[in-house]
Amino acid sequence: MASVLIVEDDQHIRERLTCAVAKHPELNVCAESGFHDEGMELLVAHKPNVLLVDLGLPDGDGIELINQATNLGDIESIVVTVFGDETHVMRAIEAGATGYLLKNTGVDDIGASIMEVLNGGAPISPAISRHLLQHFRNDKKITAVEHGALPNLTERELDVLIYISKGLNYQEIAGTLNISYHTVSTHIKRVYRKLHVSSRSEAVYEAEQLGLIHIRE
Amino acid sequence: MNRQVNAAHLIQNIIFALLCIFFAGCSFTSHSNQSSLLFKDADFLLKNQAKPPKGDNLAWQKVKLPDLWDFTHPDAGGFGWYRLKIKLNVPPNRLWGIYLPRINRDAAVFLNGVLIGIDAPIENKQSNSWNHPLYFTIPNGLLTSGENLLYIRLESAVHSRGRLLPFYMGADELLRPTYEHNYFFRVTLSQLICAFALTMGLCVGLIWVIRREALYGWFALGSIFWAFYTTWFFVRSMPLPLSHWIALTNSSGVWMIGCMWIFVGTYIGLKLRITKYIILTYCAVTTIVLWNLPQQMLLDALVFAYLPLFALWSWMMLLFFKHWKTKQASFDKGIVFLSIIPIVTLGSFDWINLAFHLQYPYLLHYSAPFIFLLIGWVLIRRFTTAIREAEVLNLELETRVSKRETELKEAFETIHVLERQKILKTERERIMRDIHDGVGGQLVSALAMMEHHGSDKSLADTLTFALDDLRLIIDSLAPEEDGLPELLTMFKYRYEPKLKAQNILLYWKQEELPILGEFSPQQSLQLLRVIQEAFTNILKHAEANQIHVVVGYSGEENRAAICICDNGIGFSSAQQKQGRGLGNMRRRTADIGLDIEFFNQQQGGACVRIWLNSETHTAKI
Repeated sequence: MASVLIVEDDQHIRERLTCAVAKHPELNVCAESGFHDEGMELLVAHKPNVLLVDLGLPDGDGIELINQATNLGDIESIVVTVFGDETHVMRAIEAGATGYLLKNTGVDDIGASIMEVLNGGAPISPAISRHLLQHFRNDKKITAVEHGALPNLTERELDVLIYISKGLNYQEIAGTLNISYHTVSTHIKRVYRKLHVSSRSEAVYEAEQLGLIHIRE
Repeated sequence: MNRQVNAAHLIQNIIFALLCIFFAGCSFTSHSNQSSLLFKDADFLLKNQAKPPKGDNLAWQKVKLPDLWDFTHPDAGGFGWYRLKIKLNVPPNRLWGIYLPRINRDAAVFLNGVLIGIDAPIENKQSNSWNHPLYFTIPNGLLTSGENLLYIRLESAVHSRGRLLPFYMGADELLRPTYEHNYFFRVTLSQLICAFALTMGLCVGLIWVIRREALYGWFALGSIFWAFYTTWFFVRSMPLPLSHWIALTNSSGVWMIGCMWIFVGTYIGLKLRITKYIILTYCAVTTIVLWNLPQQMLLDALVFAYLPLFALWSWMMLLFFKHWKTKQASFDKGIVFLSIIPIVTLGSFDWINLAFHLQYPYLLHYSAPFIFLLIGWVLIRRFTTAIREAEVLNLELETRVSKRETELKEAFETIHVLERQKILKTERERIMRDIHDGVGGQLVSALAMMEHHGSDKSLADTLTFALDDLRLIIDSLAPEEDGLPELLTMFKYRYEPKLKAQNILLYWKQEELPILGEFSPQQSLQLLRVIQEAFTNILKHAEANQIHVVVGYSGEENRAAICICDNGIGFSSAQQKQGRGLGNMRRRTADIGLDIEFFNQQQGGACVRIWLNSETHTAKI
């Protein structure tokens, strides 16, 4: 059974999420909080399998919780968002999140969505796909500055992103590329991880450019 | 700039033409007079009196002409008288004259006791007539049959090379042309050369003022000194005492040779740092020495003054040959070398003439047209080339500046656009964040609350619709230039789970779409609302289980369109005419300048087709 930590400031939504997770036979809520600092303590204390986190917390940024979860390791971070818009989701993915969950997702679907992430899947929208493509194109420019090994997308991962950006769903992509639905999902998750690595590398690159660190020494 | 080049070209061509004329003109030769009396013997008497000496007790000496006082009367000065007895059987019946090709320095001619000519331009003042041929006509009746007495009075200072060369008497129509020809060659031509040298010097001096290139300066100086030097050959009435005039004109000669030497040396690229100063110092010292020497020493001093300079020119020729061997030869340098030859040869000739008291005409100054035309042509050619190069360079610079201006302008515009995009992006993110954390979050919270408390479903539907509309607003704020394809794919992405939940299959085919020019976020939102309303109508009224969406070119008009069809019950005629939902869709599409049509399919089901503007090109989504 996978443990889930819920950090959401809206009480009703938090309760709804708690209820939905609790209903799923393979999930249990290990803790919940409406605050950043408390969430951080709970994260360290429980080391859950899944972190469900809202970004806009009253006493801090949910991104820091995702970062912490990434540092602790073996925690799948899922950002809870109203619209699933690229502004929120991209920040979370860059911090290390591997998925997002719409706040008004049906109660019966919430547990399934979490399990999908735990099983290697990852949700993605056409808008986020476009942003990912744009991001990795920029990444190549940075690589050209002799920055070091940055993770580039494989051809298949690129194909999947392009199809998603064109509005195809996972089944349609699986059919087009003659691969399984699960494989499509895995590709997206890998892309997310690469984005996280890439964003960290970019941070290192920026730090070096600013003279904060010296990686060549 | 073009005018300058054209003017320079014109001058260059004129000089070339003059060179041709000069070479052609050199072929003419002086003619001699063979029908006149030539006098080569005379009686000579030194006597300081203005009128012909008379009396049998005078010690007349027989002399041969030319009579050179520096040899025959080395210490003589003042008046020297030449007497000739001319016996005529018959007096001439036409006008006769006496032609004296060369005398030094002033002469007066008496025939049978009558003064028939005097060459001094100002009475009682020394003149500088040594290079002027003299011609005097004999009044009718003065010559008689029998013996006629001709007296020539020659005036010369001591050691000033007084001389009388053989002279002629004869018919005016025979002697005058010879005199005029000789006068032209020795006086008029010298005047022309002087004017030419001065003009050339001033013109090149003007170029020097513009370009400040030493080469032009030395040539201009040399030309101007050349002009002064030439005055020695034609100015009779001097503004200075004779000794100073000799010193001044011949010092100019020294400077002329020195400046020209420096010019040629500079032109062919010799290193003249020390040599140049030595030459200039020599010229200055020579000028001072000559100015201060007494008249009787001046002419002999000139021999020594010119000697080192001509030696220098000979050395220059050797240097030139050496330079020619070691460095790459050019056409212009060849021309300059050609101009050296007359300076060396004619200058040497004149020096021998002077040093050995010879009676040949001085020739160096005649080489001016040849030299100046050649060198002037080279310099002006060099100048025009420089102007042309400057013109090309200017053109290139102008092109580069223009290109850089364009680049800067483009960069500025790009920066402006990027800044605007950044501001828009930041603002968009702020609005999205506000909506997300504010009304969006509250709507979701309200939905969660209602779900928890099991409230009225219609109220929940209204909230869900409000949330969907907010999502449309968020999506329509996409910053892409042509965001319609993305908006449509996002719409599909968002609506697909809802249709799936109602067991409705969605078939979505999206082809290439045109870029819709000024399609603002507001227009995008209106379009999405129309599409959303079409979907809502299907869900609520159509009783369909399939929806087909085709985005791309459609119909015979080949216009882009979004076509939404279902397999439901279709529109009723009342719906098409008065339906509020369809009316709203018509209004919204009209507001954003698009066309919409509603129709039923033959095989069943309804269709909504939204025509997009198609005047622009297509973009891949």
